[in-house]
Amino acid sequence: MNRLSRRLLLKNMSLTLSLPVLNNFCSFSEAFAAGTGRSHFIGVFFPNGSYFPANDAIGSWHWNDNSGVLYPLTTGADAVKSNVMVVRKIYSGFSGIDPHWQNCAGFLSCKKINLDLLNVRCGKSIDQTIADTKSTPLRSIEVGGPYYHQHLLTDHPNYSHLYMNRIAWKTDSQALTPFTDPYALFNSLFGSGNQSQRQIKYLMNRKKSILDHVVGELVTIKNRTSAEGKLALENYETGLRDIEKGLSIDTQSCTTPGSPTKSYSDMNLNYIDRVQQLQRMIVFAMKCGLTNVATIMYAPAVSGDITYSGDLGNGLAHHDVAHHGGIGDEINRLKAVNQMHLGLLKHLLNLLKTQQILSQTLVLYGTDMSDGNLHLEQNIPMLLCGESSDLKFGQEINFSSAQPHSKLLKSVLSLSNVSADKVGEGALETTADLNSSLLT
Amino acid sequence: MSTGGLAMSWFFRRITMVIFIDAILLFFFGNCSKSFKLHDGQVSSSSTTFSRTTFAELYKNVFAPKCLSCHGADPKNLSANVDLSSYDKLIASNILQPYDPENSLLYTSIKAGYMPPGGHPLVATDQNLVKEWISAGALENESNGLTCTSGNAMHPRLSNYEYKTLIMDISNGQLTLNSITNLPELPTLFNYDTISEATIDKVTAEAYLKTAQELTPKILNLATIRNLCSANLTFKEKTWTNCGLPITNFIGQRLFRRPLRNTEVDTLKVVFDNSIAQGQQRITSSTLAIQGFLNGFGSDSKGAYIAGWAYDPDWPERNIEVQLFIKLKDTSGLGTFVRTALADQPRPDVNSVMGTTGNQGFVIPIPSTYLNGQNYTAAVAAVGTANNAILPSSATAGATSVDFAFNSNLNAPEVTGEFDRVFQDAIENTIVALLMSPNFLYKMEYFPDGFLANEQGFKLAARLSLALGSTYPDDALWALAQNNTLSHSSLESEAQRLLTKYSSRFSTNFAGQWLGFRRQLLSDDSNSLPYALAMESKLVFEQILLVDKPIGQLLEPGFTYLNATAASHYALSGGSSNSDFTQVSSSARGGLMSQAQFLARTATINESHPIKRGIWVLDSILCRQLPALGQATFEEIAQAQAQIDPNASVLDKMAFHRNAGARCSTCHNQIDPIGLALENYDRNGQYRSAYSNGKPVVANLTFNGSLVSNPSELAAVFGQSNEFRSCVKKKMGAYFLGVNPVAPGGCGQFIPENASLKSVTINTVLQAVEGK
Repeated sequence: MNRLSRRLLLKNMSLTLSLPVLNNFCSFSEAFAAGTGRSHFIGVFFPNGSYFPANDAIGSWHWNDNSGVLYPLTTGADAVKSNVMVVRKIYSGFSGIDPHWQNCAGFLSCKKINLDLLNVRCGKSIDQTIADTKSTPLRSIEVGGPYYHQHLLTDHPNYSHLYMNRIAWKTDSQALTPFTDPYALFNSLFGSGNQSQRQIKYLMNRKKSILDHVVGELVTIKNRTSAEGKLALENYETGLRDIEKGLSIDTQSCTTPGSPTKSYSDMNLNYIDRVQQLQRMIVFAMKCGLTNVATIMYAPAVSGDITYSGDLGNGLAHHDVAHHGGIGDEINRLKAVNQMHLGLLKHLLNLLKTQQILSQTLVLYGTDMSDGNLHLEQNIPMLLCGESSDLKFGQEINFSSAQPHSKLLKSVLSLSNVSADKVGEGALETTADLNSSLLT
Repeated sequence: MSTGGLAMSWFFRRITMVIFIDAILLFFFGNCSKSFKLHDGQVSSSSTTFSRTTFAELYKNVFAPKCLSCHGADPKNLSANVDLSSYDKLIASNILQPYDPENSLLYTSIKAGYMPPGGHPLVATDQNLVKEWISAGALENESNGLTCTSGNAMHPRLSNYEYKTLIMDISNGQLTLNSITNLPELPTLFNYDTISEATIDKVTAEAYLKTAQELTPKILNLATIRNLCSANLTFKEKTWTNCGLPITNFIGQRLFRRPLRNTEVDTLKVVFDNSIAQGQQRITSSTLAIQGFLNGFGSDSKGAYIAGWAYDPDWPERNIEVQLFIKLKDTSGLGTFVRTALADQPRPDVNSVMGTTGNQGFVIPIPSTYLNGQNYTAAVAAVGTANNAILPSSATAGATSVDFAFNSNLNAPEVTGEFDRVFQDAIENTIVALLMSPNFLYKMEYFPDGFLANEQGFKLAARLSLALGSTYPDDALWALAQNNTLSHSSLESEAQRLLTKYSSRFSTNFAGQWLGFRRQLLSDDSNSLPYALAMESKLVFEQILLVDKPIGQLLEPGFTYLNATAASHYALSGGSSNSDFTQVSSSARGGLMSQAQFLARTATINESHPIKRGIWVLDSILCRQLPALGQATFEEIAQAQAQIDPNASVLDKMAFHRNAGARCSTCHNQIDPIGLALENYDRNGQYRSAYSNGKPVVANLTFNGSLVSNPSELAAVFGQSNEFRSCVKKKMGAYFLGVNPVAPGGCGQFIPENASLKSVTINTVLQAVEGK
């Protein structure tokens, strides 16, 4: 049999991925909506935990606390309490590893980070496991907070900064870079929306010609480098092929969310708008059938530079208020940050609802620790969100004993109709899930 | 004492003490002197030797005879898990704080008489030997003072600073660092992005592609590039050979830091040819005529102009090029070509009526030579159609001096503008391919077998040039590389030359990342205070580098650099404006720990923060690694915080922290003396002798055995210490080689007191470049 050339393959793919098939993807999604399972997953991470008074396992996460952080979800005409399940007594982490790094990188895998600079790895995250089962034009979309956190001190010399800035891992050794700029994401997803077919085709061919050339170079070079180098070059090659694949996607029939208009050059200004724009694009992309899987980092782990001053007024940086030391003003600031993030979650859920895909979607919302002041890894706040009668949305799930976060991840997989023998590793490895408690 | 320490003291008591006083005395006094061999007044990598008390000597004379029976003789039966049988095992036993014997259990247990056990303490001479060894940095051996152990060899990708600087240099300074945006943030290693991780995934690749596509037209618009392709050539003459190849070679060899290989040129030609074919096909397949309209003549304060709009229905967002022709009224022909313009002005009325987006308006100034009282007729041709259609006009516009009648039915001359665009697209594609190439984005050493024998010189040259100047080899270095004549000595002299040439960049990129001021330097408004303070830090470092001053002077240079804003901040004299950074003599300012950029960055929004300052100094100035804080420590901190009297003095609050438990004192014994000594600087880095509540600033702690009651005493103690000099070398080892600066061993355990900043820089960069 003649071997298909890559060019021919891509050419055929561009036909395959044209509009009629997109419509088929939408039908595919709708089939899930009928109740056979949830087709969409969004993992949402926020850093630095929350405020927990001493000996209080629930902390500021009471449903009925008007000054608590859940307050935004329960109030207003657009309240989403009925779409949110509070899952308590979840623990995570590995002994001797800083939870900022570990529970960010391992948020969606419960795998241990490797403290060896030459071998940066964590574990394949569940969003990517779910993405494996979806034949969407885009495998997944990753978006992130306003900046890349770099720890100023070398007091964690064996910790890669990747661990603080990535929650999506395609493989154990390949973390996925999130979009942080709404303009970049818009251009990537819907940038051709107003262009003529002739223009799109010409620009696409130009890009393809360049990418073909660079891929050819990579193939030549990777055979002459070390195993480590080869892996890096293969990842670059995969990235370029993903771009090529994206060139073939026709989004002209999609309803687009409108281009962003504000400036995001200052990480502390227009923060809420930035995240809302990113969320809007994810939801519109899902609605259009471009992808079924996404991850959102409201900010990277630690977040020692961001103050959210544009939205919350001047104050200490997020990490500083997490280590509030019992000082009232800083506790209130931390609560305000948590409330702002839950306001963003509410925005996301309402978008999904408006686009009529919330019933097909599971959203896992959580963080790296419970009490950010003490770095506690027990009773980590976790929310599971969606819209269906088979899950106990609108309720609090409290277990008689502490449960590893990996069981919750296992539940997300099974509720998404994705089978997995086990999740996590070491003390967090599990073959069980929490479905019996989560299902009605 | 911790549980481990108590257990260790029990085992130490079992040691039978054997004393070799004479031998030790002879050994000690015979080896504690320092000898330096200096070359041309500087410390050179190849010519510096020295000797100091080393682990080997201590092992032979103290550990082996007196300690090893419990701590290493039997690895399976170690007392308190302390193993003194090798340097690495001693370090791993965690009883040693180099440079600080009083915080090293190894010394304090001996000094207190716990070790060796059994009522037979070490004689004073032995105790001093241990103390001296720790005070001198706890060297493993005497040969590794200036030599770095092998690094992580993780220098795969260009940093963003290097990427931008390369482009800036190709443009001969016409493009600035700030004209390149959208590059993805890179991970760092030990806070340096020069040693970032290698993976480029889809999002990162997309960002590189976007940057390359935005950047390429700017590069090709440069005069130096345009000179490589004559403007007088017709489209048919703008071939690969005439234009594509010289441009590709010019840019390509700078981006790749070596000449392009023939095979690479061949594949780039394919990109060029493909693009030409695509462009020609696009023109010939055009289906819809360009539309447009001349709205008329007008004038404003800037002069007279012709206004209208034009767009291509096949490509509405693209800005059409239009050409203005003028002739005397009622004469025949199209008239004289005057100038071109882009239809790129906002015309919401056109968008509204035509259902388009983008900017399609044009406003073409009329040269004043035509405003001479005679009547003229103007025509505007839209470029890009087969006959370059003349736009219809709304009406004849009248004016007192000119009478522009718009004629819609004239024949246009042959215009090659659209075909020029095809060439432009082709050469842009070729340059984008270069900018996306792994040969550009990755560094050469990442492809160990990818070098031809005659390219080794370029490899060395590229490493040296990137390390010091963040750019490609300049002409002089290129010539040496081309001849493959780069020896150690020529590399050293080139390093000297390049360090002088690129001192500003090196100070920005190395010191800026080490000391944390690069972000302000590259992003802040040049009239702002943060920028002025970042410049102060950079210029002090650069001056000490350029004039070959000892490293210790970084802490007490005796001068600083201030522009008007910084001078006002410090209440000192300085430059007359914000662009004038003047050297100002000052014994109180200029040192690394008295610079406001550091002092303000380590404060809160309301007040100075002695703990943050202390931690930063330990990490950045002394390369000390504090233990990572675990949950138990945070709980201890919280308990202590809850008990502290909020009205207590800073001194008392710190003492409370320090004495709150063993975990607390381990760190606070090191943090507090530094933080308190710097309390004379408020949160903005301005000097104070009292707090805002009137209480005096007091510091009364010792560091490494010396009282440090104010910033000056602190700087003096550090300035005389090998620990600081060694740390500077370690930071360079991290920057150039990826060696962990806070790990035991590594780079620069002992640096001679008179070693200059420049000599140590050159020494380290040569190790990185030559792989030694």
